[in-house]
Amino acid sequence: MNCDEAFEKLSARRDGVSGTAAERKWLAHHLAGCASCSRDEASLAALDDLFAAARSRLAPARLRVRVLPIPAVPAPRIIGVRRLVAAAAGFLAFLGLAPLLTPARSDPRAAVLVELHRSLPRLGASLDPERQWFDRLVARTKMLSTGENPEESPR
Amino acid sequence: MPSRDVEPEDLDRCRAGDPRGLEAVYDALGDRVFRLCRGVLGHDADAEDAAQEVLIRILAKAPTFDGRARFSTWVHRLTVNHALNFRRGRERRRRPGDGVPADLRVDPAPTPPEAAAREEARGLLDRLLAELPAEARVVLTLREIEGLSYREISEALDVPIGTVMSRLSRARARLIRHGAHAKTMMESRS
Repeated sequence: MNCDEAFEKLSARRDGVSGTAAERKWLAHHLAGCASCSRDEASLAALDDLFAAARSRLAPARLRVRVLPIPAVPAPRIIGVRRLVAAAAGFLAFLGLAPLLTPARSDPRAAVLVELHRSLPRLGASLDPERQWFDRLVARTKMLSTGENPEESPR
Repeated sequence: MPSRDVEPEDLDRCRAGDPRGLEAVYDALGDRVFRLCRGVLGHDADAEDAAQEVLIRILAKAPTFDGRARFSTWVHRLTVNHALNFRRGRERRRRPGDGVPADLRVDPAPTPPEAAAREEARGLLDRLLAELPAEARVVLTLREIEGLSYREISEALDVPIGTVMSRLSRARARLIRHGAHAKTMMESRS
């Protein structure tokens, strides 16, 4: 055997393959008498330090972004938007209809209606309640139709 | 350094189209694939580009992996072949006189002592590996950096174990010779 074979055995020994007892004995004997192979043995041991820094090398963080698909951002819930739109529309509709549903106090016709409503309970208490009430209602309606304010006229 | 394989349940998640499966596969392989590419190519930017291409291919094909070989074996083979092809393409593109890639030069920026020592060791290794043929770089990277066994390397490269041993021995011998030569050069300058 020669130095090349000795280096192969040193290389294998570095990987945990020590060979047979006879091979180990030969290698030990060769190293004892060969300065060059002894230096190689020391150099092989020094490879650990040389490669240690490379073993700790990590992939740059941006590689992950370049490789993995971008996680999908959850879209806003359509049902939520619809509900919001429906609520807004309902509110606007309420605002729009409110004047129609709530009689304005300044409207004279409304005052007549209010009085009509208040008069109904007294209908049965009067001798000729129906007639008096009806005459008064007609008179007030006439005043309204001619533009007079029934609230300002004497009763 | 033990080689870590991808967990079977993560592969199953990949097959089911679960993004968490893809992330788990990336977490298990990302650094290793990058280091392998870096070892073969000796250049950070090239390694990043090559690793990106390999990882995208791995993640795309992982759901259809048939399981006849170990997943890590398939990954190593794919990565080494892709990095070697990338290297060949780069050598065709490189103009004469381009010289050593920029990231093989020593970074003059001040760094903490420990980080500086690590960078110096990496720089020295890069310079030494740059002198070796691709075959030697591959086998050294798989064994010395990734810690693969002879069997794993033989499966990844599709060569007999005896060939792995002889390639490793030749690669180490060349590395040591170049290292001794570089040391002599440095001592003669100083």
